Amino acid sequence: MTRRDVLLFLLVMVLALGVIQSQQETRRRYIDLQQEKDRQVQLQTEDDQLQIEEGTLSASHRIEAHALHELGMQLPTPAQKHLLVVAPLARGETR
Amino acid sequence: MKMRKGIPKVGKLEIRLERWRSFLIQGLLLSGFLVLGVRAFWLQGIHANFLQQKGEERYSRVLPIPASRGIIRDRNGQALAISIPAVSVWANREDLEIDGAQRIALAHLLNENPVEIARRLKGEDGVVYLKRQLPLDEAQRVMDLKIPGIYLQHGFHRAYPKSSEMAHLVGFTDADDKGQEGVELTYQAQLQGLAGARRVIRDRAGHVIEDVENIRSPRQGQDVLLSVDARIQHLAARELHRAIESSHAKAGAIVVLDSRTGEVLALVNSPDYDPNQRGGLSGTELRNRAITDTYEPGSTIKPFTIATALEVGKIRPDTVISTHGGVLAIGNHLIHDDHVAESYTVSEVIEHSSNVGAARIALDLPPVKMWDLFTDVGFGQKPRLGFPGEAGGRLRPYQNWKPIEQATMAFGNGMSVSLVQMARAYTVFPNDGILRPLSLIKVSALPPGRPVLSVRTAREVTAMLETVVSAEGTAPEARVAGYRVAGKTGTAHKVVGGRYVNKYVASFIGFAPVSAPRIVVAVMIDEPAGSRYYGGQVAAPVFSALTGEIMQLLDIPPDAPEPPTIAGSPAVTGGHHT
Repeated sequence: MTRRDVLLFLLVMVLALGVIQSQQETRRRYIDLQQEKDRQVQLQTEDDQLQIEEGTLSASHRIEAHALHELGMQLPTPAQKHLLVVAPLARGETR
Repeated sequence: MKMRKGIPKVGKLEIRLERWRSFLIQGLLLSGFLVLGVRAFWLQGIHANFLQQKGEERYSRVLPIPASRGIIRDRNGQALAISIPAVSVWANREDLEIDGAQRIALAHLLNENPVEIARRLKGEDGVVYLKRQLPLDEAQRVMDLKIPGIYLQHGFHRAYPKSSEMAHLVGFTDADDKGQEGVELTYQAQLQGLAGARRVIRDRAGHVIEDVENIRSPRQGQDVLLSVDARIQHLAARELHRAIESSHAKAGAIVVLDSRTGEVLALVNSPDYDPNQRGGLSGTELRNRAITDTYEPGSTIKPFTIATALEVGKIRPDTVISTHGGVLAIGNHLIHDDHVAESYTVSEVIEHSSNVGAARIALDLPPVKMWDLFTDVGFGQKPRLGFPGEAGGRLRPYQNWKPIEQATMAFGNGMSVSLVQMARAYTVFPNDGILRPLSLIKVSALPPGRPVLSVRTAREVTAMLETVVSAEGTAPEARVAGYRVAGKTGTAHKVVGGRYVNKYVASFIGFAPVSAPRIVVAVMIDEPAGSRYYGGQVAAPVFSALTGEIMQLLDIPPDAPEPPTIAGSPAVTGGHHT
C-alpha cells in the first residue's frame, strides 16, 4: 500500500462520516420544520377561533343591546344633531 | 479385546460404510438448499412487493394534508362563516369495553345525558356516532379516558358568528362541510377545500423525518367577500322584526341595494333561524322570501307604467288625466280609487296612487311597449344572483293581454315579482335610467349597465316619487329627517287558490338621498293583521327608520333644504291609498 492509497482511504473515511453527519443533520432539521408546520396549523386554527370569537362579540345586536341597556346610551334625535359644513381653505389660509 | 485390535485400521472402516448413508446426507443437504432457494425465490421474486409494502408500513405513513373551507366575509372583512378543525366521536360496539363509571365520565365530557349515551351504546354491533363536531381539546379529553372501542374522526366545524341575522344570505353546510343553502351552496366550488395526501417516513419516536412522495397537493378553499354590510344587515333585521311584531304580520323581507353599483348591501327575511343550531327547522324559517317568493306588487309597479308612457311620448308629468270620480268601467269590470277625484295630473296619479289614472294611461299604450319596459327592468326573469331557488316571477306575453289585463297590470295586478327583482328595477330611477346586474359579491369596478330609460324620464319619475312622501302623498311616514327621499307604496290583495282574499302584502320601495342617490330600500310585509295594513302605514315607517339609520352609518350628508316635519305629525292625515 502506497502513501497515496493510505491518504485516499483516510479521505474516503472522512467523507463517509461527513455524509452520515449531514444526513443526520438533515433529518434533525426536517423534524424541526415539521414541528413548525404543525405549529403553523395550530396557530391558524387558533386564529380562526379568535375570529369567530371576535365576530360573535362584535355582532351589532350584541353591541347595541350593551349600549342601550347597560350603558344607557341612545340614538340622537334629529333635534340633537347639528350639521357642520366646513368650507374649503382659501390659499395661504390656516385654521 | 478382539474388537479393539481391529479398530485402528481406518481404511477398512471407510469401506465398511454403506453407500446409501452418504447419499442420504447429500440428498438431505441438497434438498435443504433447494428449499432455501425456493423460499428465497418466493420471498424475493414472487412475494417481494407485498413484503416490501409490509416493511414500509413499519416506518412510512400516508398523512393527510388538511385543507379548510374558505371564509365568507362581509364587505368590510367581518367574518360571517369560518371553519375550524373539529372531530366526531364514534363507537364501534363490537370492540367496546366500557364500565359504568367510564360511561358517566364519557357522557359528562360529551355534554350528553348518561342514559342516552347508554342507550346508544347498547346495540348489538356496528358503528354509532356519539357526538359530531367536537372541538379538538374536548375530543382529546375523551380519548384520555382510554375506552377501547371509542374512536375519533377528524373533520371541520362551521361557525356562524352573526347567527340568525345572516342566516338566509350565508346559508349553511352539512355535516360533511358541503354547502346546503345560500352563499354556502352558491359558491360551493370556490369555498370548498380539497385535502391532499403525502407519504412520509417516520422514526421510532413518531417524528416525520422524510417526505417520500406527494400523493396529492391540497387545495385550500378560497374566501368569499360579499357585498353585504353586516351593520346595515343588522339594522334591517332589527327594523323588520319590530315591524312584524307591531303589525302582527306573518312574515316579511327587506332588501337594501347600492343604487350605483347594484350590490346587495342587506337582505333579511323573517321568520329566520340560527344557523349554529339547526335542529327542527321548517321550510317557513328556511325560506329566503326576498328571493324565492313572489307576490303581486300592486301600486309599486305604477312608476314603470308611467315611465313607459313618458318614453313613448304620450304624456308629460303635468298632463291632466280624467279619473272619472275614481271609478273606471272596462267591459263588466270596475276599477276603483280609494280617493275620489275628477282628474289628476300624471304626477298626482303617482302621488295619490290612483288606479284609475294608471289604468287610463296604460290603455293608451301599445301592450308591446309596456311589456318591453317591464322585461327590460327584469320582471318575469330570474335576477341571476346564482342563488338556489331564485324566482323569476310572472309576466304574461303581451300578445294575449286583454284590455282589462293591461289596465290592471298598470297597477301591479295579474303579475308577480320577488322583492329583490322589485328593488333592482327601482335602481333605474336614481341611476339615470341605467340598469346594472345585481351582485352578492363586492365589486371592484363598476359593472357595465344597460340604459333602459332616458335620463329625462328617470328624473321625471324620480320627481313624482318624491311627492309620494309629501303630506298629501300616500306615504308621509316614509320621510326621513334631514334627507330627501323618494319611493312608492304598494298594498296588494293576496291571491289564494286563484281568488283575491282580504289578506294583504304591504310594501314600500324607495331610495335616498334624492340629490345624490346611494341606496334603494325595499320593504315587504306579508299579511299585516291589524287595522293598519296599507303600504304607507306598515312598510313606509320601516323604510323611514332604516334609511335614516343607514344615512348616518354611511356618513351621507343631509340634503333636505329645511328640517322636515317628523312623520306622524298632525299634518299627516287623510285617506290612505295603495
